[in-house]
Formats: sequence, structure tokens, C-alpha cells
Amino acid sequence: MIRFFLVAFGLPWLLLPVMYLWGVGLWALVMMFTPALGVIAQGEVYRPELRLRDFAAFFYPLAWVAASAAVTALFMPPSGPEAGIRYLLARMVNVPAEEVPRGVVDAIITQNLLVPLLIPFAMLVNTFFAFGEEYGWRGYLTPKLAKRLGWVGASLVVGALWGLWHAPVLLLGHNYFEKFWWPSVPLFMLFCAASSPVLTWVYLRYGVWGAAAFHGGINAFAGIYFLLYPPEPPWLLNPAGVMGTAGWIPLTLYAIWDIRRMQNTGRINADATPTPHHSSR
Amino acid sequence: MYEFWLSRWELITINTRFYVPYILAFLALVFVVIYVMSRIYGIGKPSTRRSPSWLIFIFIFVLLILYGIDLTAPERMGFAVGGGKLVVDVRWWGLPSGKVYNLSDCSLEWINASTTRIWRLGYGTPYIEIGKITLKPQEIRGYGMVTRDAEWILVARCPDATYILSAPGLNPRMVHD
Repeated sequence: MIRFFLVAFGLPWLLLPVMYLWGVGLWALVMMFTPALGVIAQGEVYRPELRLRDFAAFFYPLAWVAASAAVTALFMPPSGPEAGIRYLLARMVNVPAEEVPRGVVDAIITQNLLVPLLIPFAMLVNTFFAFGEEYGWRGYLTPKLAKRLGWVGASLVVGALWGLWHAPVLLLGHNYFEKFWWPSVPLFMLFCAASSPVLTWVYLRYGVWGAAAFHGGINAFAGIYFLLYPPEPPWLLNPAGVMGTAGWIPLTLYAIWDIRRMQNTGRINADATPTPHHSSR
Repeated sequence: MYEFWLSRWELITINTRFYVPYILAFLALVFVVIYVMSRIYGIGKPSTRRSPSWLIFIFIFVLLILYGIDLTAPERMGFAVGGGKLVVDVRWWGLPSGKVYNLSDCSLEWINASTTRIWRLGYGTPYIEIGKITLKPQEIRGYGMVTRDAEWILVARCPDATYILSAPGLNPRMVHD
């Protein structure tokens, strides 16, 4: 596994100075393929089967967004789309939030109404790029560790590693908006550890492409949260923050329960070999 | 007297400075995606021999998109203002060539670049905008050539056209020097 870790974790750190100088942009998409490159470097390439029904998992993260919003609603009422959009735009163009013109905010709210038209495109693009990650995290590393730790234990460990893997982009302000804000790393490790059992559950049911679709759905739908709550403070009111992490808890509990049930009923191979969803080359 | 002249070659060089990070990122992404997917799904064996030809094709395609319009730029374009004269010599995207005005025939207005947004119909890069320009919220329309790093924008309303011009270092004092 050493070559997998060297490539999957090493390449993003090599990209850090490039992303620092030129912006994260497309380099983040390159980074998303480093876990797959790690599997290739390890020499354990496998060929996951792609089926149309796997794409259904793309929509499951809507349940997580709803759960996160519901958890947040226990503490405060939603403030509506304007505050969140104003905050994010202000961060993008580096001006105070109150100086973002009203017309621009209204235009973006109107654009958001058209977003459903883009869902098929978003589904394909997000799933494809998330595949680069899921091929390594769920398709390779989780089954490997599950042999020693069981599926739930492996999910939690892989989740924490997966969060740590994001460190180069997190330190550049990804998800939490502050550059070189070190708490972003442990915070995102928690987030990933909390969501990882659900991704494992999706993987066991739908295979690697299903997990990729689900991961793509997380990336695609997370922003909906900002239409309800502006990320102030970003560590708390943020789909990648405490509230987003809390939103995973009911789904994760269900996933753990169902994974254990599948194990008990023999629907997961006892030796934790990959499920029939993909075959070794 | 202030003069700003830009050659086609300078335009390409300056643009390259902005394009390089995007070109490299795009190529890296294409290469990684093709490599990973061909290794996993074995499309077009032997995959490693096919990747370079694809990359060269994509590289040329991207260069054509990025530089195709640059290559249609005039060999030299720019403007001069001061000494009682305004010279506009662009010959691209609706701007005239070799047009000389007496400043006394034009009304001049200076807009601080930080107070306006530039909307453009024509040629645009992160460095320069050329063509039909609209300044908002001032609602000033005209033909122009404006650089992104300029502090001041000159609006010259001349008898037959309104020009919107800016360049590094251009400021109201220059007109009188």
C-alpha cells in the first residue's frame, strides 16, 4: 500500500505551490485523480462496471443537505438566500458583503432557479471527477483496510485519511474561505470521517461508480445549504463545518446499521474482497 | 503627452502570461484523465502510445482558440493624448486608424477605474478590452481600448465618436503636459 499512499498523498503536496501561485482552479480536478493514480502506481488496477442505475446515488446527498439544514434549524431560523449569496460573492471579489450590489444578488437568485436544468450535466461532470477519488478511497483502500478493521472501522479510518488528503487545498482556503487556517484540516477530517460510512454503504450497494455519483452529489448539492444559511462563522454554519458534519450523523448511523446487517446476512464477502460490482483485471 | 502603443507580438506575450497557468492546468488534467481511464479501462491499447498524439491535438486546438483572435490584431495599435491632440490608431473591433482630433473639439471626462465596471462587445482578455465599451453605472457608451491595470479611464466625446481609453499610468495631468 506504500506506493498508493506516496502517490495519492504526495502529488497533492507537490501541486500545493502551483495552486498557491496560480489558484486552485483546474488543479483541484487534477488532484482528484491522485488516489486513482495511487492505485495504478500500486499495480492493483481493477475495472469497475458502470451501470445507469448507479447514477441514482447522485441524488442521495440531498438527504444530507436536508439533515444539515434541519439540525441548523434547531438553533436558528434560515435567513434566506440573499445573505449566503452576498457572503460568498463578497469573498470572491474581496469586498465587504454589504457592498455587493443588490442587482447582482437578485440575478444570482434568479439563476439559481434555473439550476435544475443543469442537473444532468452536473451529474455527469461531478460523478466523473469524483470517480478519480472514489476509485482509490472506496474501491481500493476501504476493502483493503476492511480485512483488518471491518467495514465500519475501515470507513472511519479511510474517512479521516480522506479528509487529511484535502489538506493542500484546505490550507489554500477551500471550504472554509480562510487561507492557511489550520483548524480547517481536523475539521474536514471529522466531516469526512462522519460521511465515509455512508459512502462505504453506497459503494457496497452500487460499486465504485455509485460511490462516485454520491460523492459528485455531495459536491453538487452542498451549496444549497448556503441558500438557507450564510457561512458565518464558516467552521459552524457550513456544509463542511460542524452543522454539515452533524447532518451526516443520522445517515451514518443508518449506514452502519445496514452494513452490519449485510455482514450478518452474508451479503458482504467475509474476506472483504470487493463486491461483485467490479472485477479484478 | 501620453502615448500607449501595443504591438501584436506584445499582445500575444502579455496574454500568454495570463494563459500559461490555465493551459498547463488544462493539459495536466487532460493527460491525467486520459492516462487513468486508459489504464483502468484499457481503451486504445497500448494506451501510453496514444496519449501523446491526443495531447498534441488538444494542445494545438487550445492554442488556436486562445491565439486565433490575437493573430488578427493589427501590427501596432494604441492612442496618444496631450499637446492639444488626441490620436486614435487601432483599426480593430470598430476603432478607427490614424484618427487625429483637436482636444478642443472633444469634451473630456475622467472616470476613476475603481468606480466603474467595464462591459465590452469585442476583444477581451484579463489584460485589455478593445471594442464597443460600456461603463456602468455611469452608462457611458463608446468605442475604446482599456487595460485592466489602469487607474483612470478617459472618456473623450469627439464630434463623430465617443472614445473610452485607458492604459497604465494615464491620468488627468498627462493631457496638459
